[in-house]
Amino acid sequence: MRKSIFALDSARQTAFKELQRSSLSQGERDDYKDFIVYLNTRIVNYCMELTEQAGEATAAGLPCPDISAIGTAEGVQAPTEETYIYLPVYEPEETHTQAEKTASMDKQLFAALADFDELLLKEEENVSARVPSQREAGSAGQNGTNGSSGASGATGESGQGSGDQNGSGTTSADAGESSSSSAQSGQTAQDGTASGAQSNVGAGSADIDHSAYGAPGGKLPPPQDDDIVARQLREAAEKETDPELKKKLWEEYWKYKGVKKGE
Amino acid sequence: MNRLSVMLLALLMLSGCATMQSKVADHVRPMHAEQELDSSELLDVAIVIFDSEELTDDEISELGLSEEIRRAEERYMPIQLKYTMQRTGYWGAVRVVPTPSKAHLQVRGTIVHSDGEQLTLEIEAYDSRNVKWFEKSYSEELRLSEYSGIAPEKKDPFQDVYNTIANDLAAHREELTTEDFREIQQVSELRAAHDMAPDAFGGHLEVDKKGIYRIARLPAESDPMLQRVRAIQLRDDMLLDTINSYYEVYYNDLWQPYSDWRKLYNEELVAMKEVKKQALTRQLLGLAAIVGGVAMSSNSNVSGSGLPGVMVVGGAAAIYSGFQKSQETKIHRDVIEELSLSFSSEAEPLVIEVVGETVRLTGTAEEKYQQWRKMLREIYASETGFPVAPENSNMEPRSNQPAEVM
Repeated sequence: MRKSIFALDSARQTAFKELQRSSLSQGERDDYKDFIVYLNTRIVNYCMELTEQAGEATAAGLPCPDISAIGTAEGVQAPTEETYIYLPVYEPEETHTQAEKTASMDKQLFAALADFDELLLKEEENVSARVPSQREAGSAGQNGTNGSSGASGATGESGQGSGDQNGSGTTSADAGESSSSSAQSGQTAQDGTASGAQSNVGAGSADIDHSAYGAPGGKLPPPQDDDIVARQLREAAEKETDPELKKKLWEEYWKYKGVKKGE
Repeated sequence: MNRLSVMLLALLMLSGCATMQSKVADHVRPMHAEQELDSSELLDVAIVIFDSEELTDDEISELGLSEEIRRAEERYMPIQLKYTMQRTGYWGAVRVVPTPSKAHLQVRGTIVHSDGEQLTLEIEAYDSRNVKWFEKSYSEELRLSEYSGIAPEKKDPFQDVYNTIANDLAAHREELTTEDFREIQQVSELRAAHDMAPDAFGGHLEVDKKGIYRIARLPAESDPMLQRVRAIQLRDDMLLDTINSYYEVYYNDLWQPYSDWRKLYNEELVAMKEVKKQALTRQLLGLAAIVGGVAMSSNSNVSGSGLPGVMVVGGAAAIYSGFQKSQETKIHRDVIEELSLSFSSEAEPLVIEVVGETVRLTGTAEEKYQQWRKMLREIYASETGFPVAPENSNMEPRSNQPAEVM
């Protein structure tokens, strides 16, 4: 269940990032908001199930909202887009204990660290994107004494890439629970836009064994049969790079499709 | 007795010179750890971008060296040392850092002299306790044959220098006790913790009169503030890894033009020195012949023969030939200057680019660190109920260490 919560949170962050793009039409924005609301609902349900089964302590480190506060929040304060991520939907400060305040500040700190992880992830992608082109340029200009080895640095030659990260072991996967989920979503967010995803179902997912994720008959239904939530769940699952989170997102997809069938 | 004293003095002077200019041996074999070391024995290393001594007028005018070349070398050489140290298996993460850091071990270097023929570096190493491991000078003069078989990361023409430095560091490391390793690692962590959360980690370290850090008390492993600081420290390491990725791209971009420049420069320098030597020999021989001829002509016994005149004329011809030969040195000097100019023009934009990326990243990170420091202070105040103390509790040692940034 914890993995499912992380998987949904990863999809939620990706959707939130898409929502921040200025190029979206109003319709697309509404779709993303619906999707985020759906994901929030699923996350809250899972969090409640988890705390009911194993106590509130099990929700520690999970992107669960302050469940006890949700029941008292109605009509007091409408959630903003920002409150969909990490922060509880409603935080009545006057009723918080000191420990709850500290926990909330902790969440903000780790959310800030997760943002930094994503920034570094993008930087690493920038660097690694440069290296292959340098290799190509290098093989062409290797023999020249003062050849066109890229005075500007945009091109140039190179013998070796920078794939070796010094054995330092400091990858974002090691960076703690709160950051790892965001780093995952950061990766998925890099891959491109979600809105045009109908076309990438074939190409982008050709090598995915969908039957492993519970598709009836091992085949996905045509994308046209998906509504906005199903479509975005499918896209999130296709883009997810962590195999476990990917599996959970596909399970969510099929659960959602099952609900639709039953209706 | 007096003679013995003079000889001893001469020997002492010679040995003194040898210490100042410690020439490295040829074909230095790099030390390697015999087995994989436990993480408790692995120290993370920060090699600070090298400094360099100001170029002399002679180095600029006679040797064609330039500040642009030095700026390029200040970044290239620490990266070569990093690759060398990484291969030994003695160290944890080895990183090149733009400014001094609080890593377990910090290596700083100054380029005293560098051209394609000779390299002299001054290297000093400190651990996180501020204990100086050593300060040494390393020098090597190359033969042209040492340019064969060079390869990026693996073999620099001056690889003997890098191997010797790495071996000295490894040898010093071998002398550390288990307690030393633990203390170095703990002090490094506590210094970083104090930098991020001085309220929470104000009393954990002491600095003695010599500027050496000692542990006063340790935080509990379960201390939530320590966990937060570790999470931040991890980001700092990741930032340095990203910066190192840029440095590696820079190194790879620079490798070919720098290798070409050094090799051609060395060839020209050797040729120029040879021509200079020949010119000087001819001029001296010519001068000797003229002096001899003049002396013989004044000698009544041989003045009647034509030999003195021949010697004078021959001597003049030799001096003229020597003069012509010395003109050739100018050609070599011009070539050296041209080579250096060409290399400078290639290296300069690469340096500007990597410095720009580093400044951009460290600037962004420093802004974040300020925010996180503020958040940690608020969390600490919330957790303990203590009021937030003013931000002035800096405990940097009063030593020859430069001011440090995280």
